[in-house]
Amino acid sequence: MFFDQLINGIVLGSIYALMAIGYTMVWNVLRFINFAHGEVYMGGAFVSLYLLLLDTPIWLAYLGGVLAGALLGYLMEKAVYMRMRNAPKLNLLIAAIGISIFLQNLAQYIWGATPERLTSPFLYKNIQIGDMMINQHYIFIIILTILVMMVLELFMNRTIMGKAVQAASQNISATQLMGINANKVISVTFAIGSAVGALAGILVGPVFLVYPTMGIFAGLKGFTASVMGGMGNIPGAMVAGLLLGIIESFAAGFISSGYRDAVAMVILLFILLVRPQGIFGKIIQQKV
Amino acid sequence: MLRVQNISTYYGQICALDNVSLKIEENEAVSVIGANGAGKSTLLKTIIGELRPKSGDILLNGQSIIHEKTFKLVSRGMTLVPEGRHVFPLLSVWDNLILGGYTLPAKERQQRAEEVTEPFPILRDRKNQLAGLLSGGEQQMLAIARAMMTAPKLLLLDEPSMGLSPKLVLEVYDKITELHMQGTTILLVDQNAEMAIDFCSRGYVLMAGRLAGAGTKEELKQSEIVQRSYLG
Repeated sequence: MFFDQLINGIVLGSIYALMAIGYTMVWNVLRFINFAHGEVYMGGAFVSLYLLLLDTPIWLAYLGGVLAGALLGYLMEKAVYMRMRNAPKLNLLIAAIGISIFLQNLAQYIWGATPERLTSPFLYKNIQIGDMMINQHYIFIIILTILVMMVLELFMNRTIMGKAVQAASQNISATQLMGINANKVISVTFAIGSAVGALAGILVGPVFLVYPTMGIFAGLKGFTASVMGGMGNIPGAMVAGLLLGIIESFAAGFISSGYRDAVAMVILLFILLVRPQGIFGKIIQQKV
Repeated sequence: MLRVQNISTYYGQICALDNVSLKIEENEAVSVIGANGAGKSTLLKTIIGELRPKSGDILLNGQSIIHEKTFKLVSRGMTLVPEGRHVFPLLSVWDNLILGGYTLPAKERQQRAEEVTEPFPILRDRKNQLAGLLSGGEQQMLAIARAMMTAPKLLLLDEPSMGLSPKLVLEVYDKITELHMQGTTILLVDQNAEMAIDFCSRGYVLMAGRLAGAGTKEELKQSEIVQRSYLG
């Protein structure tokens, strides 16, 4: 029972962590919460589903969904947020909510509201470890999440573009003085964050199904994890996502599945009371 | 090299620069002095493209740069060390330098970082430290070294002595002099009028957004307006 719940929690937490990365990356460069991020998660899953209906090989369909997610995030930024650079942040927030509702309706118009199951090559296979049976798709989710985190870590700390993204999060006007096109950095950030969000949607598709409003709750949880980890802190978002998933899973398993969200939210409130900057958030005082 | 022709810059309805003109020839070191709020930083921000003037023109090597984006001006050989240094506090000293060389080919960045830190041994000693943890003087050195990564022909310096102890001010000016001797053209803005005038061969005086005077180092030192307002 304990290990079952732990595995469930890690799987759920992986999805939250992937979602949280998108929120936190966008916050880093634009200092706003992209509330349409949940729709990137949904969009990626739907595109994969659609590609599978066209008899596309499964890996290509997954890849197509991820690329579509990246494109969706990129277009969102170019078409709307970029034009609102100097507008109050509240306007961006409302625009994000508008985009979110628009995309949900668009998905419903194109694909309908009936939940559909995405195919996974692993869904009906299990691995036996001791006396525990673990679904192979769960293992697939965990492995892919670890891979994505490793690639992101390498990108952020080993490439000049990754460093430019970090620099933009600390002082976007100074990046321009380095000859860096800040708009390009913002686009790259949106594309990467959205690709990761879309991947989360695709990975969830075979388990929790694909439907137009699937991004609402996942978005909320990803956002919660990003706040919990310290907004703007990518490793923090990853760890907090995992933690949130595990807490929820244990709450569902040992208390009642009806209380899982409540327990998670109480813990979030507690963390924010004790550490307002989040678990990994840093308050660095800059010398002048 | 740089011609600023009759520019006027506004913050909304407020006129921060009113019909200002100046020029800088290659290998010159020119200063702009003025009190707080005189428009010195606005002038540099307008030149580097962070602010757009309402009227007038700015020519770099004969070409208008009035519509050019800031990041593109860096590739054209001009950059700014902003007021308050603006180092990236959560990146290491070395990463700050590497980012300064963003426009360079990847292979040259490390080599160039070694070169620009030659006059700043303290930056080499602290290369792995977070830039936000450096002292004010060290951050100023880092900001200057970072700007030198692309070997700019024209370096704009905004208040390099701000918030530094007198000893550090001398040190920073020593480094800037060294860069100038190596062939970098410099346009410097500083509230520390004495240092700024001494460093440059020519200078301009800004008062309430307008040019109130101009002249060589000696002329400025003897000018009544400068004596009265800035040198005491």
